[in-house]
Amino acid sequence: MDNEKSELLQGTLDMLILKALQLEPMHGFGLSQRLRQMSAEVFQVEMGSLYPALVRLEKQGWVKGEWGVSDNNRRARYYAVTAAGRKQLEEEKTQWTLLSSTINAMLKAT
Amino acid sequence: MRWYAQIVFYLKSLFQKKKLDAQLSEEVRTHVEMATEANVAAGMSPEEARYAALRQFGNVASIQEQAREGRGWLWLEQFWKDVGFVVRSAARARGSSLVILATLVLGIGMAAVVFSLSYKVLFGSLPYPEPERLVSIASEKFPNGCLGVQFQAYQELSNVFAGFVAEEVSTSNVLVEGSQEVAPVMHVSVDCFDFLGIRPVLGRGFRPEEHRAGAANVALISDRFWRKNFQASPEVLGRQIVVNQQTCSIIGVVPAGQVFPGPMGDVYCPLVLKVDPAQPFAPWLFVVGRLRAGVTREQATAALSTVKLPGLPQWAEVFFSENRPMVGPVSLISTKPYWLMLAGGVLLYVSACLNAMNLMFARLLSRQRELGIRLALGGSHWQVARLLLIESMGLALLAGLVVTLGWRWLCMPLYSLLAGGSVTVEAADYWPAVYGVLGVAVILSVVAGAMVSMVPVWRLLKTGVDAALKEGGPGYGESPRMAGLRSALVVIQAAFAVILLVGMGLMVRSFERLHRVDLGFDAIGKVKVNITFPRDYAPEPEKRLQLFERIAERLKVLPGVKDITYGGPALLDGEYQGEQFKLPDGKSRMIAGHAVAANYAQVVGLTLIQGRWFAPRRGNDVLPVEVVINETMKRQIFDGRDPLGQMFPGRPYLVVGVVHDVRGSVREPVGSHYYWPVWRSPQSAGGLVLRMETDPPVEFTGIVQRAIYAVEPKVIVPCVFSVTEWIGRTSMQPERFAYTILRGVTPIGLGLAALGLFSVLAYNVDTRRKEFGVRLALGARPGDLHRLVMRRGLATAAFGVALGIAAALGVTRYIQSLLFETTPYEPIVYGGVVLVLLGAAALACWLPARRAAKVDPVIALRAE
Repeated sequence: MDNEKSELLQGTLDMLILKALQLEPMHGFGLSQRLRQMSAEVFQVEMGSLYPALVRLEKQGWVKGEWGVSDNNRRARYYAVTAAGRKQLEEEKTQWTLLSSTINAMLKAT
Repeated sequence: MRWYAQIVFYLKSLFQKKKLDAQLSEEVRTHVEMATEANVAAGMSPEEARYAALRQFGNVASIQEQAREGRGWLWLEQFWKDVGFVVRSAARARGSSLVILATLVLGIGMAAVVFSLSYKVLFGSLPYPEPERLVSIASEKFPNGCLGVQFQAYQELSNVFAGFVAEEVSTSNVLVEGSQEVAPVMHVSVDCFDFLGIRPVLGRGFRPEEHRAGAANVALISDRFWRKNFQASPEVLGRQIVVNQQTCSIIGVVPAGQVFPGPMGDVYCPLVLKVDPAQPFAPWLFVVGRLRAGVTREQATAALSTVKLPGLPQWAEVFFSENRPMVGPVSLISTKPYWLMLAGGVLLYVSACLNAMNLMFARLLSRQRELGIRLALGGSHWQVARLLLIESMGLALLAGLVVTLGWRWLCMPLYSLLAGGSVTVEAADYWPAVYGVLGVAVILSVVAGAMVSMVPVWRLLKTGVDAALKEGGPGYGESPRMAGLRSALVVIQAAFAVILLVGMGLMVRSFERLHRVDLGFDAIGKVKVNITFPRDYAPEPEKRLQLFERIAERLKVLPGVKDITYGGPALLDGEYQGEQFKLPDGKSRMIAGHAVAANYAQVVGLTLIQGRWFAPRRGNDVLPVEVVINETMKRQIFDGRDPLGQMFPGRPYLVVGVVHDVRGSVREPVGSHYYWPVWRSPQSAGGLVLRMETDPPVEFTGIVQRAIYAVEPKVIVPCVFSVTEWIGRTSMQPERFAYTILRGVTPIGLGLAALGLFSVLAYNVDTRRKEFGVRLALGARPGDLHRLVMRRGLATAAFGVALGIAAALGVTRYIQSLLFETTPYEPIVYGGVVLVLLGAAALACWLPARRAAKVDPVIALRAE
């Protein structure tokens, strides 16, 4: 069942999390749903990667976690992108675009 | 901003570890619940939904672990775990931990003390602008300074020197608020303050016009003098003090500490240089020059030697033409003893570290099996090495901490012992060093820790799992590799001990020799008092004699004084060379004349060898003057012929007796001396010699000074000193300092060396107990075991000792110049050191061997 789901490329998870959180603050479960949805169900985010990634991002000061209440009245920790996080996302996006376009060009080359 | 946030994050994750862990658990729980709900909504049964959610999550504990790693403190947690383990294992081996700690405390403490004591002298830069361009100027015949004529002539070298300062030191009576005291007075040359960049803490320096003769009298006072006599009052400016009967207004206060490069003064006056080439030997000045940019010391020396001194009398021209100038660094004291002290401290520190390393290594060997098991169970070499590093670093840092915390109680007494001998250490000199001790102790500890763990870690990293298990396992005897390593440790330890002990032994021997020099008289209980007269108070010759008689009468009734005599100022002064005499054969020689009272021989204890003492005074004095000469003079001037009845070359002096030589200094050879009646030259009277039962206490100086002021307040009593102390102070200065240090260091060094050898050898024997059990079981007798152990142990130690002796022979020549009539190859010292160390080695082998041999073989074999 999971076979067609791909592993995320190393190092891209942080960028995708920042991207996902850009619209609104989200809790961990929401974030995992959102990531799957964004990738049109292709990427399967391991929970074992998601939470350490959040800790890492928080350590860098790119996201900030705060306790809030979810739609169905559950206490949940909501993560929001900080100003530094937005800047970081822009940088990573630029780099990613450069990298992917270069790789694409190389693959297309004959 | 980001680094700030990160630090906050770090701190939070460090101190709120539990809270963060709980938070993550809660998040995970919420996540699982949400996922379960979503799965239920998607149509799964509740159990199935929860199971699916959990499965999606994987191992929750490992997520926690990874998250913690993400927070960046995993290594710290592991570190704490390691520390905990090390503390527990060190506590189990409490005895050896304490020994290692004590050894390190000794080594680090000693090194820190020595370093802080010598730091300022050896590494501190002079507190003057561009100190590297400052040089002290002296000459071979006057190694401590220049004469006024020289100083004046040097002024022409303005292309080499940017400028000079000169300081003339004298001791004068200073009258402050009606009370009189004797203070060192420094006369400093023009621009001295600007030249050296010295800012008075109060008031101003001297103006150029104040250096002219007849200018208004002004003075600056030292910080010490200011605090002592004026309670550091800022209203001191404009107050009057009387320096040598001259009233001076105080215009400033000189900062505390070593301010001027020369000797320290309490009162500073402007130098008014009066130079008379016909009398070239005064005044004596301490001179510092500032080289022009780019001029080397060699160039300066060359330039100085071209300077001609104008207007000298003919005899002096020869004297000065043979006198080569010397340009040296401006250093406040001789640095050699300090280097020696530093070397001793470092040597001691290294041997302490070696000791600790040996003990540590021994401990490691006993844990070899445990470490082998760790390696076998998958611990990486690095993990195991980390334990060792933490252990040795921990012990070393703990030792450093003990030294720092205990500085006052442990090291300050040592410090004052070392400093006390001959150098005066002012509070300002060592307090900054004390603050630096923490830093020094930390550095020394880290280095010590690295040294201590070096060999064990290196050894460990080279050990394979199987080898570790095998060697620690129930093997018998030693593997050749281990035996070699342990022997190497013994050899190194012994060699270091030899160098340390030989150096100390030589110094001690030299000092003993100095002490045993025959002075020709009994110095104990002799007190010398010097009296000088201020410039404007010079009593008539007869009055001067009467004054000395009166002073002698007054001092004679002081408690403890048995007898008293007086004469010239240079009585018993070993450095007094006298004046040039032209001999009939054209050569000239230095002969020192002492004008003395008739009872001088009796008070000092001179023994007549030939003839008689000069006759006491009776009425009119007639020529020739009767003189008594010493043995050296008889030999040097009269070529050993009978001098009685002979006349002095070129003087109306008749030799009536010969007395044996008296040395006023241990170092200087005895010169030609003669004694003649003081009433023939009353102006030369300037010193008294007291014979007392014992050397007087320090307070005696004040008693004598007050007694003399009671007779005549105008005279100056610059010094009252016991002759033994004087000889010790002047002629044994470098040795005394080195000796004081070595006296403190030697027992520690000896103890460390013996302990080190003992611990290594004893440990070596101890680890072979199983082997001995087998040997005993196979029929060896205890005596055989003793022999076996002794032979091996002593051979190893002897090899180390031999190596050490070879090294010591090479190294000790550096202290040759500090040794008195002692060569660096003194057999008795080497012999003693060899005996002591081999004795310690023999004991270290024999005691454990005896213990091992006593054990029942069955028990020895079972003990594992």
